[in-house]
Amino acid sequence: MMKPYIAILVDSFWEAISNRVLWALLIGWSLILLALAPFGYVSEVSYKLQNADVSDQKRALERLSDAARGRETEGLKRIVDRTSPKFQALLKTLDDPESPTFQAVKTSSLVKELNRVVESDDLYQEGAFSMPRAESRRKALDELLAIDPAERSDLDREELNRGLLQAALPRSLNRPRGEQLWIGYGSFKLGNSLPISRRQVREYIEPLVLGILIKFGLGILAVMIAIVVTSPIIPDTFRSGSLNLLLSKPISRVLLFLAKFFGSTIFVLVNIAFVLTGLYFIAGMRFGIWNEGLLGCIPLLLFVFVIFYSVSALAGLIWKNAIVCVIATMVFWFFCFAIGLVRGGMLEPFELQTQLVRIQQVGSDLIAVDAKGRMKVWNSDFSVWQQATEGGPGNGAPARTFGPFSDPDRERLLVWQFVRNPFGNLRGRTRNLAIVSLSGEPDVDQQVDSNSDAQEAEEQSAEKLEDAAEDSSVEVGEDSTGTGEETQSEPIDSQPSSKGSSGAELTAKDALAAYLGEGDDDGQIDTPDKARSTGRWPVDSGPEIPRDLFKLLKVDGHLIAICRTKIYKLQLDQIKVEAAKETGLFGMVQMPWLKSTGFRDITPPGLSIDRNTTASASEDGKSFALYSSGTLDLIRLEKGIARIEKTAVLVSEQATSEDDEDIVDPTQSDGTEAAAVIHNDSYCLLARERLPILVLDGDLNEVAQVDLPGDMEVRSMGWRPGSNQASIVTQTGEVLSLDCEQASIEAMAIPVAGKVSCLTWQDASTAWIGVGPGVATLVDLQQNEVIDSRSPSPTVMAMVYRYVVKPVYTINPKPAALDDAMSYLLSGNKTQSMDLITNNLEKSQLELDIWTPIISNLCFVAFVLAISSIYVVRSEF
Amino acid sequence: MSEQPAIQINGLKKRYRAGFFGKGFDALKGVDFSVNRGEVFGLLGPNGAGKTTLIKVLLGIVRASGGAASVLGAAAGSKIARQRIGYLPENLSFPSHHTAWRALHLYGRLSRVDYRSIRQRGAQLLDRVGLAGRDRELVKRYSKGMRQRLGLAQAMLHEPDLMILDEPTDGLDPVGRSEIRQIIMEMKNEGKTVFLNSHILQEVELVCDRVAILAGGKLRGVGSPAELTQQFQGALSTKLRMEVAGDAVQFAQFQDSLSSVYQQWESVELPDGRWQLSASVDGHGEVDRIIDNARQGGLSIRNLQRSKLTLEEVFLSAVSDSADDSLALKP
Repeated sequence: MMKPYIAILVDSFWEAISNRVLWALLIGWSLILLALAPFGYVSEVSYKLQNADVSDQKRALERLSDAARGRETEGLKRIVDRTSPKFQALLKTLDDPESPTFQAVKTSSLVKELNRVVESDDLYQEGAFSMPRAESRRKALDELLAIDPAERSDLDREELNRGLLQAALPRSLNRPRGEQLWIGYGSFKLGNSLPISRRQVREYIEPLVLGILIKFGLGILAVMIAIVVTSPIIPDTFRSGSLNLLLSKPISRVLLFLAKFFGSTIFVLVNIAFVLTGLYFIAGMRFGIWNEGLLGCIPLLLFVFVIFYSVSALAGLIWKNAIVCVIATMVFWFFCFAIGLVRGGMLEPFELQTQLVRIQQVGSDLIAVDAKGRMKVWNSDFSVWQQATEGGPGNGAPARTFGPFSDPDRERLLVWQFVRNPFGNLRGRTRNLAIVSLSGEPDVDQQVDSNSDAQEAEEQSAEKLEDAAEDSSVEVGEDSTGTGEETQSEPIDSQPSSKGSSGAELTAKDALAAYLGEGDDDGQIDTPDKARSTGRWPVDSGPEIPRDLFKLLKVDGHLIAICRTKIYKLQLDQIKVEAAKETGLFGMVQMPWLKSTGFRDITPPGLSIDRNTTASASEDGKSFALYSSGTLDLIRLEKGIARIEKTAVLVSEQATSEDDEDIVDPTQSDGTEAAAVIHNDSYCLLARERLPILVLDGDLNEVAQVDLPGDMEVRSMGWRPGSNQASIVTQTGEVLSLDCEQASIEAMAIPVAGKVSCLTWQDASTAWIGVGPGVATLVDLQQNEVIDSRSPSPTVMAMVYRYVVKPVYTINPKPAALDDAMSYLLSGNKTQSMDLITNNLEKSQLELDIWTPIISNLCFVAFVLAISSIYVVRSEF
Repeated sequence: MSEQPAIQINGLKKRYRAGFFGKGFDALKGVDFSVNRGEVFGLLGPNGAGKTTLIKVLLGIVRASGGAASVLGAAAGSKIARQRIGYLPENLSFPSHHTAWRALHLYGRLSRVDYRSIRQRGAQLLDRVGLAGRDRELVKRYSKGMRQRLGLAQAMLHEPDLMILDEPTDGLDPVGRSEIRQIIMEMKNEGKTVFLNSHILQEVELVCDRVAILAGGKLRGVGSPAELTQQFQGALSTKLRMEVAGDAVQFAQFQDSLSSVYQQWESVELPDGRWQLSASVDGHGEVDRIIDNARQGGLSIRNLQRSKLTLEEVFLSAVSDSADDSLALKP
């Protein structure tokens, strides 16, 4: 019965094969694949430096120039002695970091000189170098030193010298990576080595590059070419001449049309299959990655074509004109694009950024932090989330918020926030900790002159916060001059300042606002919109936060700052309001740096903190766990001193070494994964990206590895009070319960529907749950019932998004949304980081919506084909 | 029981609509005729007469607005009917990627012929239509005549009982037309029914057993060419040529008697006292009167000729506005 229609399909195949455009495209694709095939990455075990290995050039040059003038350690002097004479002469002239000569020194020149040192034969001298703090690194150096210099290989020598360099300049150079990767063409290296690991290349870069190639090369270019090439098929078929003969045959018109329709897809199928199969073999033979997802993209891309072609075919039936077909398809594409654009533009502000990531009950106030980093407090009069304080990220890029930390003795909250500027750099709105007075009154008693406080901090601290003003920042505060110092400039408002609400001088912004008559009203909140936009509490500047901050914790009455290579603490009762500084309209500090803050260095000996670091306070708040690049430490504060109680090295040698097949074992950690950690007296849980959750006992011995069901990823974890059960919120919005004693995990029954964004335990049975856009629900998890719910009244635009844009988008066909399914096929992950490389597990990831676009697009295609079939049946040709 | 006709059409009507607000157009206004099995039947008519519409109704390409039509005992347009019809459309075009074999494969499969039969019969048919040796070339390089022949081959591939040929000799040279006629006669000899639509009246006269004349959506005449001319002979003028002998006075008297009655006549004097007379006459009565006048005038009738009506003349007469509907002969 289907034989005649199969004959049409076969005929369409021959038609495609005989099409010259097809052959031209295949030749073109072949050339592109041949050009792409040599691309890959070149791996080399090397301990020589690359530009990316210099983390703080300014500091390195300062110390080297001091060594050149005989003022530094013996080790540094030996390093300088092994650079070129010209460089040594240059170093002797570099006495002023602000001088043009200093700033003109290129990183590549420094690297070149340091590599001379790495290659030197006689760098080491006993007693000249201080050994690194980290035991593992110290041990590695000891092993290398134990080898007879005459028998040491070149690689061993380089590794040793590199380790000595690192020990001499710990904060100026990144840890040696050993294996270095370059983007390569054939065996040629292109540019500098990549600052990421092989695992990260495999995990993020390759799917991204493949995704871009497939999406733009095939998904857009090839599909559009195919639309143009296949546009005449239906019009030509349904024009008389050939049509009457076809219709005279004993076949169904509908099946004739459908057979012709699907036969037309053969052209694009050949193209797509050719390219993707080629990529599959290239990736397999070059990198050893046989990614079946590439082949899975064939039907997906074909489906994209079918969506557009269904519109083209209907237009061809009605108007029997190939040009009209192409125009109709373009109009359809534009319509889908516009709908997607509107929805995409509204998705973040109205759905993603309004998710609550932290909920805290502070007294009678419910405080929350949303995904944009905005700190809010519930206003029950208007049922809205009110800004906790004035200022904040506003409508710009999302911020990362540390805290808020409750200081109940002084009725205040402590919080710090930074945003990402348009150029991608992280910039603190201010270096100072924000002190939010919950009483609503300015923290007058806590105010102090910033200079006297700085002197006191200098006297008290055993080790000053070094170079707080001079360090160039990696994580925070990197300014446009690259010197790490914020520029000084004249205040924008020259009017004399007057006392403000905090008892300190008014900022220029406040003075300008007063001049323009803003805020002349009595400050009454009488509408929901006003409630949303008016800050509840005043905020003052506290002490400056140390640079390169990874994490801020509250431990045992202290604020602990986990920074790059150092840990600092500041007692809560010593956190005082600083004098108000002149700030510009954008919140930038314009006064000169202080030389020190109240934070004290409490870094325990032997602790190593690297780039990939996370930490959390223990359940009892007396200690904290620190995970950094594969090493987990439990640290306790005793009499103000930090002491490492336990350490576990959790990185696998297999994951980092290069094996014969050039394949990274995805089940092993190489220390570069984003992670989250929690611990209590009995257990410690470590969640790492794409790896099972490690359950460790109190001594950090592995008890079990627990896989999350269905490829889920951890977003946040928290202990159920008084138990060894942890709640886990996943990136896809599910809540799981992990029983450490049973080493089992199961879904937790919660009485709310929707995607959960956070869960904060109030006690052993109740918890605040963030679900949906801005909804906070207090639930009793034992009774499985809702106790209280705070659902904010939506704004007009939020309602437009919820009731107009979202439904229209849902029912509208969305070919572009099939990208999610493609990403899933290529990466195997159900969520996607919104950053290039995930380094923060808690950061919300986009859940890939795989099936909804497929179903809605299928329905659309079915609908259009049905209309076309009815037209074919009813028409009299 | 007598065999059912190959085609039976009763009161067939077809009205085309032109959108919601446009005026409709009646392409067929109640057509009745039948085609017997095994005969070659021609359908004649001017442009816009409704011939193509009628064929489309028979093939199910368009739906009738009224009346009924059956093909080989089945409803016109049904799959059963279409399965047994071989159709050669007017202005047949083949896809540019087709060779003769590929075309035969496609259309053969659409007619549910299996591969083996396509291979066997296809070779025979290509040879029969004179395309053997050119079967691997692309059809787009064929001449018009070659494409027509290929069309004929694909129409015969599934051994249909009824062939519907729309302008089969259109665009062909005399040799080509002769070949097509030959094939049609062969089909007739095989017992197939052939229904052909043509503008070339001479071709229709040569091959058709019966013809129907369609004009303005109505049937103007149906029957064999001889029946039609005979029938119209009574209604249409024919040419009379007569050679008479006598003296000049007698002939002059005869001319006078003719002039009073006939305007369309002419005479030519021949040697030896003879005259040739040519006149248009309507029917036998006038012929008798002229002969009587000649004899009464003392003239001797040496030769008498009355020319036959051509089908073209019948056709032209039938399709003119003044044609009488009742002239149509019933089968």
